[in-house]
Amino acid sequence: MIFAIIGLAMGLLLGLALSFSYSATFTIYVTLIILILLQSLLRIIKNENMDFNIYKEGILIISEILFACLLAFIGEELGISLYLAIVLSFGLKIFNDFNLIVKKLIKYDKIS
Amino acid sequence: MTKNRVWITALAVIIGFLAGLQIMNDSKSYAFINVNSVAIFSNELNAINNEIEGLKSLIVMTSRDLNKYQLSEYNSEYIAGYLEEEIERVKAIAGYTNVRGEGVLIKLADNESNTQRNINYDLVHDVDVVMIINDLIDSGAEAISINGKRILAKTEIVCVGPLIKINGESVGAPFIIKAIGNKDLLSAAINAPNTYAYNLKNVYGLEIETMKSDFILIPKY
Repeated sequence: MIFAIIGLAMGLLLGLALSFSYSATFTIYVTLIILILLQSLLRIIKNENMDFNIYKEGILIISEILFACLLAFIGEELGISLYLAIVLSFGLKIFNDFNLIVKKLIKYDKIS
Repeated sequence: MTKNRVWITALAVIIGFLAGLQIMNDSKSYAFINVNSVAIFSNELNAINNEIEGLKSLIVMTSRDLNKYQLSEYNSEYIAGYLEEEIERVKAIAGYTNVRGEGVLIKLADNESNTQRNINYDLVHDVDVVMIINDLIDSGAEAISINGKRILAKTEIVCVGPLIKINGESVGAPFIIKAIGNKDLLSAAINAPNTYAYNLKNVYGLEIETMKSDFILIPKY
């Protein structure tokens, strides 16, 4: 997990240092990609002691990203904020995983 | 396990990179616009440009006046003539000259039919006269009189019981308002639907008649 934090810090510094700008239209999609990747990261950290198949994980992540972007695009075309559904679902997942990780860290079993 | 860590770090770097880009992108300076807002902005731009044009022409006019004054400094006859001209002009604006031209005559009288309601609804009040005068001025009236009393900048229109006080003199109920200006515009200010006078006539039943005329004389104060 410490590697994840170090990596996040490094990436953040890199991103802040590069002043690469893109159209505001893509803001939604980038947000969705960040959300999906964050959820995958937490999912992997949650099962850190298990070995995982990198190809299957990659396929899962990429398919999730593609489908989320497709959904957001359709929503934009139809005039509905469909991306909010994705934000909600992944937000819930992220929170769940985070909760589990913290419980694991502090060895929380149940209310005693 | 070490392979896991490498992938985790890589994923974290990608996430951090994207987040950093998103933060630095400063999408607050962008706004989603549509055709409507473009139209609104272009209208605003046109209005501001028009205002600039108006101000420029004001500068030209003022500098012309200034030139006249400077020219007349060397010629004492010229300055007298110029000042007399200006006195005439200011007098006309202030209402100290007779004015004649096209305009409208408006008759404003109480409702004399026997309605079974509060008498106040059937009378012409000072407020009604003030509102009608304001409508006329708004429509470009150059001179106005009520029953021969010229409306000046300092004129008061005040309720004194059954009468109305105008320029310190009391005036009684059938009011004849004369206004000089574009007769069609002035008549529209009285007769167009939803103007104050229209409501007085059609809701309260007061007697309001307008007559367009090509020759109206309004006496000086």
